Amino acid sequence: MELGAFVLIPQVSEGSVRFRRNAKPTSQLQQTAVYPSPLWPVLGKNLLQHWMEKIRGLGIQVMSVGEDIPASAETLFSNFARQGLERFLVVCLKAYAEIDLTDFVRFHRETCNPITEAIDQEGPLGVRLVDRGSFSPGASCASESEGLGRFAEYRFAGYVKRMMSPQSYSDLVSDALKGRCALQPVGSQVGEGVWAGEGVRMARSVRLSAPCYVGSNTILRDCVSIGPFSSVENNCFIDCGTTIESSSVLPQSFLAAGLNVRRSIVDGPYLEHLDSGTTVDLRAFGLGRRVGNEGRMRFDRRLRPQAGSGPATPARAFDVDPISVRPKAVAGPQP
Amino acid sequence: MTDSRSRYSEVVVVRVPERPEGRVGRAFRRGLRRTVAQMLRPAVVLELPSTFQLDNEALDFLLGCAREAAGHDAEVAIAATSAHHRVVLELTRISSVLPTFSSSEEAVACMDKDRGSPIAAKDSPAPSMVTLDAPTTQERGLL
Repeated sequence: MELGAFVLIPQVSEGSVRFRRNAKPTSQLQQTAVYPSPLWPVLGKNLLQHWMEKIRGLGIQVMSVGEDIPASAETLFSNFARQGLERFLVVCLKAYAEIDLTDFVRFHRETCNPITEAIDQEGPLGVRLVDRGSFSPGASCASESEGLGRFAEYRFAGYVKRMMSPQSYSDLVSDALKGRCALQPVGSQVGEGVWAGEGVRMARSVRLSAPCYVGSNTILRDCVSIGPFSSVENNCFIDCGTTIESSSVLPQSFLAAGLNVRRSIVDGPYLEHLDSGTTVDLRAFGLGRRVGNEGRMRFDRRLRPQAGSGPATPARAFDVDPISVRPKAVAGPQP
Repeated sequence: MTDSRSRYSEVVVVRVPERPEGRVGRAFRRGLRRTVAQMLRPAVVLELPSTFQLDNEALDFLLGCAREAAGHDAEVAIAATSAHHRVVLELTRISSVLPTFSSSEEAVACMDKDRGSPIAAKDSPAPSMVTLDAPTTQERGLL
């Protein structure tokens, strides 16, 4: 029997993320962020990529991604139905869950219910298997489990983290860095508990305290200190002397020199403090903003010594040490 | 004796004006300097009102106040009731230079504790509140 899958991204209305019916965003950062929080990368990979990998692992070839609204789900369903698919795996991106999808599908077949929903102690996980005959737009949305009729509950007791707030995002980053979940950082391990993506450029004086993660193409200038329990995602630019501790910096963020970022999440020009829940607009102080690739490279060019300009004096403005991000050789038994 | 001891133990709480720019800010700093100069062992808590406009100029102003007070060997702390202010002060590392508290009472209690035995007497006077945000007529003439 053909199985199709669609992944539904929680609706973004006025920048907010809708996880439950009439749910309000839990933080100001969720309102101001460019992407809904399930699409915030966790150590180089976001929930969408994570679930798509899992779905591909099932051997499912037909897969669609849409918004978690009935109209979108209906369109996806009618497209799938035309292709003769009989069952649909519906994943609403609301949680990182280490579900074994093969076992989930097997459970659905065995129970012979038209709908199977994965749940844990706290409720639905947003993963549902629906038979073609039982499909309704409401059946697609993880927020609308009432009125589904007969459905089986697949109880999951493994690792789950719901991406409901910046705090839960931060918890997931910490758990991944500590190795409490199966989520692996994208990149190579450059030291004990330190990971770096491709194309990272950092000054020799940068201090990385394990566990921490630096995403691809990020630039860390002199005396920047990262970690512990911190992640700087891809394409960021962290200026001299800034300290990032127990915090996450989302992609394409620029942080000015000399800052002390602690227990916070930074998304471009906004910083949310996890303990107080306060969001600070860094643009008001000129301390942070969003940088595109071009902007980041412009910074980079400005800081690099110009080729052929003047005598060949070693410019120290931006002392890059590409060696520091080489994968560390795994220590094995000595012969 | 009592008077001398009370002045010795005094921790002055000064409320920072909401918009400390221009002459208001200058008058405030002058008043702060005068207050600190009159104290035997100066200790000042700069209390930020929750409506305080915290921007780059305001951060400069706070550092200027701290410099002014430090010129008279004063201990300086900041009492910021707003969490937003505390986050900015921490982010900019000002809180690592000037101890930051969530209320003036907390700041005074901590400063009293740090200042040692003769000050932390049971019957030590309550911290005095000084308002320096309005320039006096004489100061206005000088500005």
